Amino acid sequence: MYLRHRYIQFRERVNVLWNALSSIRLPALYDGLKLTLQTQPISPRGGYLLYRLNAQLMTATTEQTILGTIAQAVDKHATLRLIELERDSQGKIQAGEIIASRKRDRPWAADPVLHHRFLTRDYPALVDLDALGDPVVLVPDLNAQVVQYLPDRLLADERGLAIIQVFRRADGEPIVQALIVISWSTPHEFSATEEYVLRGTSGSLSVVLTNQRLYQAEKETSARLRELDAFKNQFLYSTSHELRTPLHGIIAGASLILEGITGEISDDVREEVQAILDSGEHLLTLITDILDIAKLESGEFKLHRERSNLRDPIEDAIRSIEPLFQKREGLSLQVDIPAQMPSVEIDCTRIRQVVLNLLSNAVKFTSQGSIRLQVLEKEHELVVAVTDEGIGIQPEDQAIIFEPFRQLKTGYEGKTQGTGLGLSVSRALIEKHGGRIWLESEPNHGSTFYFSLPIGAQQ
Amino acid sequence: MKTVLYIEDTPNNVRMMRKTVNHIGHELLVATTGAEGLQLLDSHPDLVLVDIGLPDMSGFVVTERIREVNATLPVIAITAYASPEDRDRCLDAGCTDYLSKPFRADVMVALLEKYLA
Repeated sequence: MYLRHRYIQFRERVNVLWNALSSIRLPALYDGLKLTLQTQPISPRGGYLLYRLNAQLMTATTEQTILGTIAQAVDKHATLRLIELERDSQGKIQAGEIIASRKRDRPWAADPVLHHRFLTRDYPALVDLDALGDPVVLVPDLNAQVVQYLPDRLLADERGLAIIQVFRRADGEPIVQALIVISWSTPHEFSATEEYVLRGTSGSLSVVLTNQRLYQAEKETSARLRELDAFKNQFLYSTSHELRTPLHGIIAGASLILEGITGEISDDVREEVQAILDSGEHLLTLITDILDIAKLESGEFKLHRERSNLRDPIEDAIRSIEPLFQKREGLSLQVDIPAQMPSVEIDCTRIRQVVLNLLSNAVKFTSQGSIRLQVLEKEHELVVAVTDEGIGIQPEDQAIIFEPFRQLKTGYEGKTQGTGLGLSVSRALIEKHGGRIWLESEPNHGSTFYFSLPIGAQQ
Repeated sequence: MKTVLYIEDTPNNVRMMRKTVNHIGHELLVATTGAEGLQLLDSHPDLVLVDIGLPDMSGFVVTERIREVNATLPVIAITAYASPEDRDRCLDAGCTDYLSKPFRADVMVALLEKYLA
């Protein structure tokens, strides 16, 4: 008995406190949501329902789930609709569209008025929504109260009505962004609990709907990005194939003539066919480099690393470049590789590509003299150095020479072709290996390009 | 004189390959589909060159079918699919070697001489 007495006393005190609080209207709470404190005393059942409802709303990610969650707070005869409002640049409501609807306990796919869009021209009362004052409007019987809040078509046979306004902050005053309309075909007396829950949920709905919109937009963006990424990869792959096919006609055809397979040719013809072949091969290098750069920058690129001797890819590259030395008198190649070297974990094809690129550049920019390739063993790394006695590189160019398609300021005009993308690809490849690439150069005295590869743990 | 079977559907490529093979004194047999290529195995070629993008089946499938009946016949994939992954796929399918297009005639001659020696 005593405990029961104490409990009633406690309830009364809470109610007094609550009524006092309720007389204060908070204009705006977090993120612009408008909250009016309830005028009813706390009902433990209502409080629990509202707490549970808000907790569930926070996890809703679709409009249907939002409506489904609110449906739990009303009886099973109610119809729920979510109406999105459209505003013009002055912020005036221009139209509304029913974007989701359901009856309690079942998604209501066949709602005849779903996606129905109504204009303020046809329904001027819509404009007054901003002036309602109360975020939640409850109308027990539309016939008794001659107030029309929504278009006739939507509420043809409806009698009971609840409108929950969902707010959005738009640089200042919160504005009504959407409505949740709950309707009954018979007059509806709102129970104290029902009223308490419906009124209490308006604030969290604003947050939930905003989050839901952000979540959906984010989801669509990332799906679209994934699609684009897959498209881009497929595009690069096909581009490589598509460009190589016609290039084969040029390179194979020109070399067929030069090899004498199609018969004797004059020196004049040879010279021109050689030019075709050289241009074809130059184009092939560019295509390969562009695709490599694209792959390296998109992160698609994978190294196929194996523990191997650095000598193998270097010698492989030298074999490929030797014909160039044979063609050029006065140009020699010195190779200095230690007999014993620690093994390194490398992608041999790619290291060969880098060495070949450095050697071709050296040949391209040296008219006479010797080119030297050295491998030096340092404490934690192997360093490869390619030195030429060419025209050298101006200090201002040294900083940008590894960047794709940069025009160098001095030196090469009209004399030889530029370095294209080879050095950019080389830098990316060496960095992928955990190494560095750099150069030392003195104009008119030649250049040395270095790259390092970490030795790493021996296995 | 040895016989090279080339499974390829592009006339340009076939013509250039015929000149190259004939130039070093060998004979070229041509199949324009994978199925035709598999039939021509009956004429016992010494080397097979297979394109990967054939009209009826991929060069990978052709190579796998060849490997079902002949484990030692050299098969070289010739393709404009030029990534390291493509190369691995060719070798995994059972190709002896791989050559990516475009290639120069002298490279092709060296490869032919290596496998027809």
